[in-house]
Amino acid sequence: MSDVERREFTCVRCPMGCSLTVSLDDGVVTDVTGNGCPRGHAYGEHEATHPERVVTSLVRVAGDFRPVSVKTVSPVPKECVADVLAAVAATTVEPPVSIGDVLVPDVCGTGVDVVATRASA
Amino acid sequence: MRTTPCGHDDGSDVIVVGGGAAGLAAASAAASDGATVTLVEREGHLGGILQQCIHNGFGLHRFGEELTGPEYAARDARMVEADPSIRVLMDTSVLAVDGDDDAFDVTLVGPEVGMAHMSARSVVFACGSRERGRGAIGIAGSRPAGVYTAGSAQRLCNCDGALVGRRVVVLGSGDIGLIMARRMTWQGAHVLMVCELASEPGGLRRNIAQCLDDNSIPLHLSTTVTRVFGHDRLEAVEIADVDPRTLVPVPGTERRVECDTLLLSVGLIPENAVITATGAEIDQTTGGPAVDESLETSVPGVFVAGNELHVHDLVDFVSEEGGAAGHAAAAHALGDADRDAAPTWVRVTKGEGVGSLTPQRLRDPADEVTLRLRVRSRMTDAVISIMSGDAVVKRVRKRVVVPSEMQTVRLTPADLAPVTGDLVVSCSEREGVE
Amino acid sequence: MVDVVVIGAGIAGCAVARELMRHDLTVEVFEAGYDLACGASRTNSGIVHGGYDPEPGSAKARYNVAGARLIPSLAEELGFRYVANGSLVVALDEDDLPRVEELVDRGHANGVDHVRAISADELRSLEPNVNPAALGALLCESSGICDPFGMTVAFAENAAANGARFHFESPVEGVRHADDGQGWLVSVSGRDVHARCVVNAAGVGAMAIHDQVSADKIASRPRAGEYVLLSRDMGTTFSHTMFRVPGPAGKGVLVSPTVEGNLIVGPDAQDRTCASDTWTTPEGLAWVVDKAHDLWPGYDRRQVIVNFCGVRPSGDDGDFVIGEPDDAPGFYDIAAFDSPGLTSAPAVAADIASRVADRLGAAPNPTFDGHRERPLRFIEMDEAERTAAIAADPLFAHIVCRCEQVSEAEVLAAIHAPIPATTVTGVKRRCRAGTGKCQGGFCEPLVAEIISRECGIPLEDVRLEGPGSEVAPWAIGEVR
Repeated sequence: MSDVERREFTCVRCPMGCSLTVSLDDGVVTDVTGNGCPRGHAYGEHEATHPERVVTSLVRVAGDFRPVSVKTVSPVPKECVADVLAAVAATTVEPPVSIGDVLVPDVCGTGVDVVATRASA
Repeated sequence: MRTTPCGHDDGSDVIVVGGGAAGLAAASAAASDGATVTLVEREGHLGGILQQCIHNGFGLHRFGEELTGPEYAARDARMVEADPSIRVLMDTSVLAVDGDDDAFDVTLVGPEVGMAHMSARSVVFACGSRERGRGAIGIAGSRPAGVYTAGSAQRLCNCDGALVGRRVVVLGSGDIGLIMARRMTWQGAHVLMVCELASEPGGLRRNIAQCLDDNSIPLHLSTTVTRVFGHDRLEAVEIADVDPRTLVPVPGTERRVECDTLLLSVGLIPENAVITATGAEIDQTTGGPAVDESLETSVPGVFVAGNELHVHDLVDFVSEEGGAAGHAAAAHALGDADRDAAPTWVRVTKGEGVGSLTPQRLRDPADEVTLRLRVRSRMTDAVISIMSGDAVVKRVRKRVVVPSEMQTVRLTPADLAPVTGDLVVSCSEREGVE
Repeated sequence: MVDVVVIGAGIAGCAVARELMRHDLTVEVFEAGYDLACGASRTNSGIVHGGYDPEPGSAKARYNVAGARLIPSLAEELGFRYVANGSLVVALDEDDLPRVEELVDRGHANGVDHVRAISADELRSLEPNVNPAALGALLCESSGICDPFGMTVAFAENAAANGARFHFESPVEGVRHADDGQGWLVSVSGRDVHARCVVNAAGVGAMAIHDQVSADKIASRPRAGEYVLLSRDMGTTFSHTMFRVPGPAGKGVLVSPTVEGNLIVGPDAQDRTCASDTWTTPEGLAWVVDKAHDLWPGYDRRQVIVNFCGVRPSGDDGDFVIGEPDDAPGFYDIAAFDSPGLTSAPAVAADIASRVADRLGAAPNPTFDGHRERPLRFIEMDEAERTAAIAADPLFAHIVCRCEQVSEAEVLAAIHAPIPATTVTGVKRRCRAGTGKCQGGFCEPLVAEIISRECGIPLEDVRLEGPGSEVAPWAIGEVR
């Protein structure tokens, strides 16, 4: 007999926040219900198998108390979020910084860059 | 950008008050219609509160991608700064707007213009909102450091690089509170709980999921903070259960939670001090001015958009509204020949289930109309009905509606064709409807 | 050796220090708190009482009436805010009417100017928002309102300008006779300051200090009063300070405009254990609001911007304790100094200062200048004044606090004042940045940034008030 499981999620792809029910059979998604759009279906499938998050945080700028804000350019595996935050917190950059500058390349070996989202003169 | 010093009467067709999302969009829209525009921003940066909203999720509707607040602001700011017909005055405050129709006298003060008057044919207010604070909700106790509105703590953290505390209780599950619960956690603080007076969350569901659930932060509904303790720094708060019907704390349920920080996210209030002084009529339910479908207030030539009109949850719609106000302000300033100077008005009123609503009146006939409303309570399988007498103008089905999420309903001229009198907008669950 | 040590930089201590500077004396003021007026001087009703309330013949009656007469000209000379708005004591039922007459008689006995009973009609024409059930009132035209914190600052800055020295976060640990019998040793911050005279103006702490030097103990207790403050939109609800006739049910609360245009409601009266017990209670606030309805049925809770509590020293016999105890020559009390202490302070200060000067045989101070410029406020200026102010200092053109229209120039003036404000609350009290509807939601971080910049301290070290009250104690990255 196979291992059938149902898991509930709130879709975060858009502010609608649809309540999703994802059915898994042996770890394989067999059905997603409750989604209002295909993005919700994809989210449910993704969230049930390998959840990811965009991480946003702050990087200190040498010589200025005002930090620059940063983000991962794409989502990183959810289990890596704490490590990514630690890596970002340990970083100090030299000004000037422009929006889009890569401040931490390939953060924590995720293959994802951390880029500036706010400039610093 | 023109930077010549301001003479006594260096006027613009349109003056936009506030350089946040709504004001930036209004300025660009008015300029694109051929108006000369002065954008007045009281802080030293454009983008308003977006600059401190470093999380992502902005711009999905408008740009089809998820931007952070500063990135979203930068896109609009670049357009405004590159537009030769928009003059931007930074660190400048509008003190008063006098006059009416197409001869406004705007009093302002700022480093570039000093104490100045500027004339305008129309004015767009986009001053945003302010946070309700501790005094407004009447929390008793001492007055130590460590009690902040969520937005103040957000600015200190995200703009100034300073963290307000390490053991945090959040009161109010408004979006800023939820976002700050995650921010504080991600910066290394311990967020003990989020308390919410109401029996359902105040913020967007995605924020409950992403900010609280992801970080295992408990949400206590029907719970409030009744007292704060501590002399120099906050030592603890007293929380209590709340009767879900009366919203009054239940005696005997008080308990003490040791913490060094209390963040308040207990509602936003449209910042309407200057616009009120123009004589614009204020709607007591939205807290902002009453407007028509062009976002014009009861003072002809005075327009309003964004959180100063009514508190939004999505910046994309704030920008949309700012754009609409900008276009309408330009049309007013440049002389819209088609516009009826003494129109027939259709009142738009709240029916069953609707807590707040804009616009409050429409021209008859009106062009496109965007209704924005908040429901009173959570409903599933809901129908938003717009009725004119017994005639159905429009019905929109929603799988779920909650007070925390603003609903938008668009009406076309065809929808409005059968309108014979005032409109009533209501929302109810589908049982009994058809 | 110092001529005079003044203990406490509240209204009493600062007023005494200023009056002492009329004489050729060295004066040092030691304050336990982080700023001027940390105690009852900043958390009270701000009323300049006419003087019809105290028991005839009491110290309160004498100093109240004298102080009320001094304050209008002092407000001009020292540049603090005072408005002669008058007060009304409202009769709400038949039993109150004879009490109004008694209070008028008491006012006459105390020598109060311009006090009389008025009819219900006259009351309503003066105050249309008063409870329509009101039957009449006492009208006192010689009472007023002032900014109690600003008044304390004015005295202190003028004292400092004339040579008095102020020390903050310097609690006095003890006072004893000097070993040689000449004067007093005041222990403060681990050292002894030798003073020829001591003025004990330590507020709630004054009784403990008195008891160290005198066998004649003062019986008193800390008494708390809770208030709510309403926004400036409500300041015109009443033009007079509104009381209700004190009756068997107690005193009731007052409802009054403030000099800043807010409306203040309070206080209640609760016993507390010490000066720092300045917390409000849900019950106390509810009581205050309930009583406010007696005078003002239209009380609007949505307009409340803040609640606060002041703790004052209340003497068991109901009167002030002023002057030298018999067994402690050269030691002067200003103790049990509760209401009407604010109104009385100028008269008490003049009295104590002249007694000290007599004892020490001090000559007049030939360089004394009693004038202090009133700090400029953008919100109070007309356009020509604003243009001139900006020409002189461009920072007047940068508004920091939107609610109260406070400019950066005013924030800097507070930070660089003769007695500098180096805390967010210190700045707020002096120039009103953060006292409006948003209660600092927008400008508090801005003010903290300016203090950091001007004082050359990291943002994490900027305090709200005393030590341990840092606004944002950690830099990002420190906690993780």
